[in-house]
Amino acid sequence: MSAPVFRAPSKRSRATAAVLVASVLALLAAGCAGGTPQATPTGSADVVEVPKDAATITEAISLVREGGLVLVDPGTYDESVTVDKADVTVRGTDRNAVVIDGEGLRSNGIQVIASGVRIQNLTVKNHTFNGVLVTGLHDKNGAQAHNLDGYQKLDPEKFPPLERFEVSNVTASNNGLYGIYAFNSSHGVIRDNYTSGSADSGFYVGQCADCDILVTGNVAENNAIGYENANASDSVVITGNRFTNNRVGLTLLSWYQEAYLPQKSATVVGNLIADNNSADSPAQALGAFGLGVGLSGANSNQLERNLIAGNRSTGVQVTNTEDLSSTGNRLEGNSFDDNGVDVADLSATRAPSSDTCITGSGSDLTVVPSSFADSCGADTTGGATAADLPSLEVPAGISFLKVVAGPDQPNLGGDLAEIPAALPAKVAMPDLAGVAIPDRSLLQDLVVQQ
Amino acid sequence: MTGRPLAVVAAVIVGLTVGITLGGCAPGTTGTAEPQVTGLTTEQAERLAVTRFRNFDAGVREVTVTVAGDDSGDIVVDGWYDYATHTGYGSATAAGADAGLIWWSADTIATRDGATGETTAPLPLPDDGWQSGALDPTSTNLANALALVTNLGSDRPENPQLLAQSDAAFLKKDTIDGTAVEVFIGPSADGAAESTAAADLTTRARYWVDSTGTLLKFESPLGDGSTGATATIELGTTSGVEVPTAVPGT
Repeated sequence: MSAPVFRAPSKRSRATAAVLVASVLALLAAGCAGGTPQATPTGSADVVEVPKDAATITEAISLVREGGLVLVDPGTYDESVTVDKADVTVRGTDRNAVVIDGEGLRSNGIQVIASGVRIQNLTVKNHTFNGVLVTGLHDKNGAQAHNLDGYQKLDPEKFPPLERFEVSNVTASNNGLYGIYAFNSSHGVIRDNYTSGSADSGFYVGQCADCDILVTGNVAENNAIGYENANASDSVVITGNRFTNNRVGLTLLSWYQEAYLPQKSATVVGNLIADNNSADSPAQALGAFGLGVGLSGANSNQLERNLIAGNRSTGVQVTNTEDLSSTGNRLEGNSFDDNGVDVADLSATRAPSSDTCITGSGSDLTVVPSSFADSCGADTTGGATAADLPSLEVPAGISFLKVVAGPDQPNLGGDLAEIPAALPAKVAMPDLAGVAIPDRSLLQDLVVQQ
Repeated sequence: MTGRPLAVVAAVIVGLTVGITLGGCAPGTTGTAEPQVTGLTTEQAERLAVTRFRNFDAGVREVTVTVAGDDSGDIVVDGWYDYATHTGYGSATAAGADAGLIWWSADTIATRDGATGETTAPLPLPDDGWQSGALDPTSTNLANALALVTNLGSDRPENPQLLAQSDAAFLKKDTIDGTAVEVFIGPSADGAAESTAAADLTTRARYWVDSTGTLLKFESPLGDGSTGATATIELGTTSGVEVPTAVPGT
């Protein structure tokens, strides 16, 4: 019996694994959007305590009046909460002990689809998509946002941005897409939050013009990307954050075939963007690793007085988004230290970068290609290639549910039982003139100790 | 009987299980057709949406792959599959007889002919006697089935909203080794709802899923479904076994 038992493996064709997906769970379903969500009944209570007055947060939202307060006591809540009532505050009494747990099954922890809502002082974890989603796009199927399969391109006329929101002192861990996600929303504050273990990014601000959004005092670690800013423009201020030990620290980018293109004019001042070489994190969708800042089809952004350090591939990488160039970006007075390469231009020749000004970061900056250092006020003819960057072994991504939990995080201060005043029409932006370059100790006591 | 060469076993199966294009957006329910199915509830859609991610999260799972309806009798591969590295390894029987060892990844298959005299695939793997090449799921029923094992893992969950809108359906409750499961019919290729005619249902994959979204059994017609050949994939507990990622014999 010497006949081969196994048929000789085929050498003629690469197996088309993609085709097989059709027989498993691949979905090409047309969207079925339309209609409006069922409004929560009008409540009358100023303050609703959970579980004292209502067994669930969802029930509490139905009982509270517009502008009222839902105060949540410690416990694990296995519900997906939709806040559809204006000016409501949902606040935990103990950030680390009030936990909305998706158990690896539910899509979103909290979905905000009404204006003026605050989410404060609680933990959202183990959701298959987002920890907290704030979105102006919603239909009869609930909240929607880009990056969910089958999402149709945002129509800003049909779905104007949600206005006025705040997400503060929230811990968002081990979520399968974004930790804290503001989509098609404006006039908002994302402050003093902690995100880790997000399979896409810890924070995402996307799809708004004249956004008027402040991102400050936040920590992102062990995410695929710390902070992602796509098609969010004009008045996004990102200051005093710690984006360390992700695979990528921060990105400003144009997302093609999406509303509010191209991205422009964000302000990134006084952040620590360091050591984004985490192996204890989910894989980045494109395999990126060791990158501090990525600018892709990004325009007229101001990156100033940041410490960009210890990123093993590149400190700041500039590239194009398809035919959209990166133009007019300002890198002024940043401190670069111990990156594989400090600044690199990888733009394709079909969409070369132009007018990138790199000033005030010392003379020993490593720039690839070297001519890129002189591109302020000038065009380039295209950048270097990935082969010109340090060659890194990219560790395999791990399950977002398996990323290590962070330490306990500080609670919101003040009288937690007090109903806050309505959020203002415009965000009070900080004065950035006095912001200094941070050192590596910025918010250090809030991260997983190495 | 002696083992029959899998080369003979290998049939002419070409193409993959695909569904029938149908439109509509309402959750499907059957009319007169059997079996009776219903559209997915939100919770059912959430469980079905994480089945492939749960495999990635689990890493190595015990797998038993049974190819039935092949011209030369049933083929069974008994071993392990690592959904983190996308490599599998096991021992094979054809028509009840010991047939050898098999290792595979998303795009490569390696086989080692001949009986090993052991009831489970030996670890570590034997060094010699392997031949390897591309895994072409259109080449044989067995290759098709192994590729299906590979496709039951993903590092991200699916979108339950879309599953709920699709023609994926709940078939029945069941138990596997004492664990309560629900049996779902996966979406057809175009995913649109109302595709619950009996003739269509038989061409689509079925999933036995527990309350955590863990997949315990999967069944699918092979090829274009016209030959009657099917793959049944039973998935056991997470295992401490390490499946080597290097192609054996290379």
